[in-house]
Amino acid sequence: MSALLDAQRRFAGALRSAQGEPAMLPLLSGDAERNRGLLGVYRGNAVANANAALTLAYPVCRQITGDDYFDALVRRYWAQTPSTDGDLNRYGHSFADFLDGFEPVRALPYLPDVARLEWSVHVATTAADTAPLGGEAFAGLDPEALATARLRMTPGFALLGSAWPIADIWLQHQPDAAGGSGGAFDIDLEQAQYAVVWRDGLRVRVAALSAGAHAFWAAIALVGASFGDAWAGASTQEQDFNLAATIEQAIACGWLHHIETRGNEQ
Amino acid sequence: MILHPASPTGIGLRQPHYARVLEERPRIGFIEVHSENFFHDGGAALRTLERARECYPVSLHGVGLALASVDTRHDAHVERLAKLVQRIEPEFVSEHLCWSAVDGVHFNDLLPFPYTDEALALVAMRVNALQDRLCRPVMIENLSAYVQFHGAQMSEAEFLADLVCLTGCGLLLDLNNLYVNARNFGTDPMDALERLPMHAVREIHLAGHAVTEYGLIDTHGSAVCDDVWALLTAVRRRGVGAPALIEWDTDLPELDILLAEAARADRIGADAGTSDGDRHVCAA
Repeated sequence: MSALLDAQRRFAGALRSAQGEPAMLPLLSGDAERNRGLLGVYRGNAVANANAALTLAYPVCRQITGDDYFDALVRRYWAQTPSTDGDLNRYGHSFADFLDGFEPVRALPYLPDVARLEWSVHVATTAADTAPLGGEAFAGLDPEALATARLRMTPGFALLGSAWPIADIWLQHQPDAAGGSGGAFDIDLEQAQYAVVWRDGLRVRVAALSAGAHAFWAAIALVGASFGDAWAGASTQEQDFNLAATIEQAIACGWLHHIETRGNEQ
Repeated sequence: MILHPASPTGIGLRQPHYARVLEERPRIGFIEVHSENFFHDGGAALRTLERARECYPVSLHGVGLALASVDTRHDAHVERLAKLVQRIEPEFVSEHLCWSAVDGVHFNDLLPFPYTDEALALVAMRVNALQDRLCRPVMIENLSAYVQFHGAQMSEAEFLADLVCLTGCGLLLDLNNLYVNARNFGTDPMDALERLPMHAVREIHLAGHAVTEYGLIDTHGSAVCDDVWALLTAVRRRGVGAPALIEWDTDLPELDILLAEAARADRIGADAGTSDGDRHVCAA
């Protein structure tokens, strides 16, 4: 085996755990005790870098758990799922799945879904900049053209569903939330909620969605359904589904990127 | 595009200073950012860098390519860098002499390795491939290392001198790293300066370090120390005119502190009256 690869594997072992130190120390010159301490410095750096990345991606989870608990979660997550990419901004996409399976987090049952929402926000933050579609795109479409039209959403647009009020939790933990972040919350924690994430210019926004609106946009964004099919599906989810208000919201918020009508692509 | 030739020293631009730098446009020679923080399709950070690029030359300083990692996939990372280089058209592109990843695990840290012929061949191949892909020379930075290897066949300075000859790359001379290593390993920093290929220096990094029970740790979290300023004076007296940069990453102070450090670096350059580099012939 390559001597360089062997050295890197031994070094990696000492970074993953202090138990890897004995295999690494013989490769190093100088005092062994001091080298042991220095390997500890490197090991601390690796976890600290992972922590910085997850703190950036999951600020609300960090507020909810408190700093010490979050640091402990990061250490466990990093031990189980270390970074695999030279761009640390990509690290942490599976943090919610880790939280799902981590017994001590059961006391905060909404935390995994809040983490899912935060990852969608993280992704939307750096999504491509695009000019959203305006209301004029729908002008002059006859009912048949509208029914068969297919819509594409702007980059960063994401939908989530949860047994917990994740949009409200996220919104109340924002620095500009009423009462300030960390203030008194007025949230019914028993309430299930659909959430939408999107880019509003350079800002990322989050809002709650009705069941019908969620079904409508999920059919369009995730399944590629036509406008008419998505409408039919949404109406079965929500008796009073208001299509006009849903489209109005999408145009006002800039969710729509592209509309494709039969024989008239634009 | 040097807008402020009288102030050639640059600063590392970090998020808390974005707004003030864009609004006030202080007299600095250039700005440097970590390339990976802009490997995006869009968003506020990338927009800020594009706006800054309208006022200042930009240096893209990579921390994630891990040139000396034997077992890592580089192609996707290089492509993301190439896309950013095309978008920003930077003055400088640089990376570190380090490894970071093995067997699919990335430590996202700048890790030392034994300076051997095997490592030199690997890093030279990677630097050549990178320069070919970017269609431009890159700079490689000397590392702050806390441990040293028995198996080393040469010093870091000799490794870098050979790398410059094998690839034509530039040297990003980090004087704080040089100083931290010399102090930690009980060597003379001037000796390392003697062995480094001074003719290849295209940029100089200045930063602070922390003093710990294990020796000096390169934290980029404090002011440049007097000994490192003295090294800058020594480098300027040798005729090296490459621009300096103030690097500050942790415990980031007010922008004014960084600007004052940059002004001090400018004065040292002006006092020494340096012109751009003496030229040496490659020995290898």
